[in-house]
Amino acid sequence: MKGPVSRLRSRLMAAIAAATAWMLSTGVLMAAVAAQEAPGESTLPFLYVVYTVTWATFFAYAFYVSRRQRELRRQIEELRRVLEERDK
Amino acid sequence: METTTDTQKSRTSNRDVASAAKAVLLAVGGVMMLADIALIFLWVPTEQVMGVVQRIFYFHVPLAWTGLLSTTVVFISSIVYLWKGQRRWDALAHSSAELSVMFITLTLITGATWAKMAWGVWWTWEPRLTTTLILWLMYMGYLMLRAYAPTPSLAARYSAVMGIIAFVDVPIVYFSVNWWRGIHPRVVGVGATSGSLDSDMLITLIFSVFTFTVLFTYVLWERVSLRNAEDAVQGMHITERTA
Repeated sequence: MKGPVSRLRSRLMAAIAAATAWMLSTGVLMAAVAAQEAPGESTLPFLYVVYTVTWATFFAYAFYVSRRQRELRRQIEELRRVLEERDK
Repeated sequence: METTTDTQKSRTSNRDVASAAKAVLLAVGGVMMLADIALIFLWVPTEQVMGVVQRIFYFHVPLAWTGLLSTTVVFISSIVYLWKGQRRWDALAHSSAELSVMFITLTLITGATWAKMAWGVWWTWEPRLTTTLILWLMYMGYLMLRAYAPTPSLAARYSAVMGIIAFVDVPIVYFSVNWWRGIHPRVVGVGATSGSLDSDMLITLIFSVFTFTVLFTYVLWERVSLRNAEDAVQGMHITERTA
């Protein structure tokens, strides 16, 4: 069972990820406008890829760590129950 | 029996406090991250010579900073582990080494993309780039050493030594732009480009460095908790087998 703080944290992460996606797309659009003003510039896709790779890697790692932790906590509870039953 | 219940209650309460603290840190980091993206994309002026691609700088420099910060954490915790032999220092060093690899990888990727735009090539054997690649290889070696060590205690001891040796490359990475004639710009220190930065650009850079430091602290904390959980599961499996 998920605790309230853990649930809140998961929701918070999802909200941040969604807001980031929105901000990135908005930012890219704004930067695209700025790029249109400077002739001869075609570097925007590189910029977008760099930022996406950075955040995607960071969040993928954070999610992995968070999920694995939950899984291990469940295993710990299970093992504790097994050991307690054996002690009885 | 009451003592066991009390210990369990205290453990649960400590875990709740830690969980709440982590949630606060994540919230702060998240808000800072969104503000950072807004500053980078919407607020900071476009650099006149390089154009929009210069904005990679506000991610590249903080990534490099967190990469070097995490290697420093590995170095200090490795020394303390060898000195005191306490498992928690090994857990901290191991967790931080994993983050070092992630942040140095991202530094190399963002740097290579910037290099393609600035120098016309993805990679060049320039002192700063080469020493950073060596640093990345050393921390990959650190993780491999841990994975292939015959026992957990040997893994901890071998990797602590490796964590200390690998750190020798950190000052070399930092001073490489001063010691050898390379083409990598000096961002901080003597003759740094940050000194000639527009104030808005400098504010964005400093804010970005703080943001990444907060996020690094959060992920490191989570990773250490994961490592502790892994150790607990391993310990309980041993107890189950021997019981």
